[in-house]
Amino acid sequence: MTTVALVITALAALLFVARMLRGPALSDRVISVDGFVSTIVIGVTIASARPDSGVVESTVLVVALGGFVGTAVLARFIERRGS
Amino acid sequence: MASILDTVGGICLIAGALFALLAGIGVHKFRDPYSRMHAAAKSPTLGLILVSIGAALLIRTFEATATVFLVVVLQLLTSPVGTHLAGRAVHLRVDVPQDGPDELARDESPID
Amino acid sequence: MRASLRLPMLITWLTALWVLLWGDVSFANVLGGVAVAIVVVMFARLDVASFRPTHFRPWWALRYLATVLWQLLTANLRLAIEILTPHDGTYTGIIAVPIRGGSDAVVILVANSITLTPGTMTIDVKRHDLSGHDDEMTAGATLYVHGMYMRNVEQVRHDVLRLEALALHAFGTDEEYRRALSDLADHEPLIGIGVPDTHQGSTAGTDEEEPS
Repeated sequence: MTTVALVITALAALLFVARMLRGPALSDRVISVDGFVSTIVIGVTIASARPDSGVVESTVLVVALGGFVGTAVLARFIERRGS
Repeated sequence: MASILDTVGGICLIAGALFALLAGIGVHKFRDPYSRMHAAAKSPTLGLILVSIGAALLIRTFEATATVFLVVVLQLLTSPVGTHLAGRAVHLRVDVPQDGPDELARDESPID
Repeated sequence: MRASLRLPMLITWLTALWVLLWGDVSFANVLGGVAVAIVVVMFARLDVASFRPTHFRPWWALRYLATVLWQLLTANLRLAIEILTPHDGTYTGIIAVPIRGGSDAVVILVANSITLTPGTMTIDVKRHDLSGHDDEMTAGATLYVHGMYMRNVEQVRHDVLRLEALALHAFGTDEEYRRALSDLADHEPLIGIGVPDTHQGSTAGTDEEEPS
């Protein structure tokens, strides 16, 4: 079950990365980074449910916080630099 | 009892992952940055809620459930803020034509 | 909540979070947690006063949470239909919605909640300074909402106002809630004009140009 979920999540992550690479504008890349980080948080949460993963649930908290800070910084960057 | 929780938890995990996938498709299908933001903000948030419920059902310790609850609260609080920041930055710098009215452009004074 | 209780409560919450992260309720952890919490609060210099909501009505707060979660679900179902079918039914636009506001907490809460409701997303918030203007016709804040289904602008505005009324019912003073409800009632006749118009539609609570 968790494997299926992880595969789907990996697919979602790939789609975000694709949009990140294709652009065409900076704003598109920021949006895909935001979605990508959220997808990673989902992935880590699924992984923490597996008995043999060694992932602790608090890792998810850290990733979520880091993701938010990253998106905020990128948004500021767009504000200053333009698209 | 345990296997029922396992099954329901597993379904929640898959459902949550599917919403992340929906978001991934969404950023490709939509043409303008704002619509893409709709997809990137709402769908992973629901996905995370579902996945968190699933993980809590599968792990079944108090600690895991509490942490997972915290993560959901954190995501609910920060995800819209991140979207807001990105949306504001985009609106300041990029001209995105709308089908309908653009009252933010109307009210906004031009920068530099 | 009395002002003298806010800081200790904040420290308690932060310490609890710290202990939870370590996963072990030991004396060392609690002590460390208190120390870290104090340092964090000193550095953050939060303006705690304006951030707290003025009221807390637990039943309505629960109803608000349930409403937002239900809207999140509905929004995603709508998104799913939109994304997975080839037909493009969107009609985008950005509108200004003047809201009553209240404490900063309520404004932020409503702004964030709008992002999670179907078809709408907050992209800017402007706070109005109401000192000296406190009468019936002044809005406390303006939300700039991007929507994907903007054919009926006033309906979208109405949805935002309705959510705000619910938020004030849970977290605002009786006076604010009463005003929000009257805004809602005044605004209702304007829905049904299904054409996106460029001039300011709503009458109550609108004050884009503040009287000087």
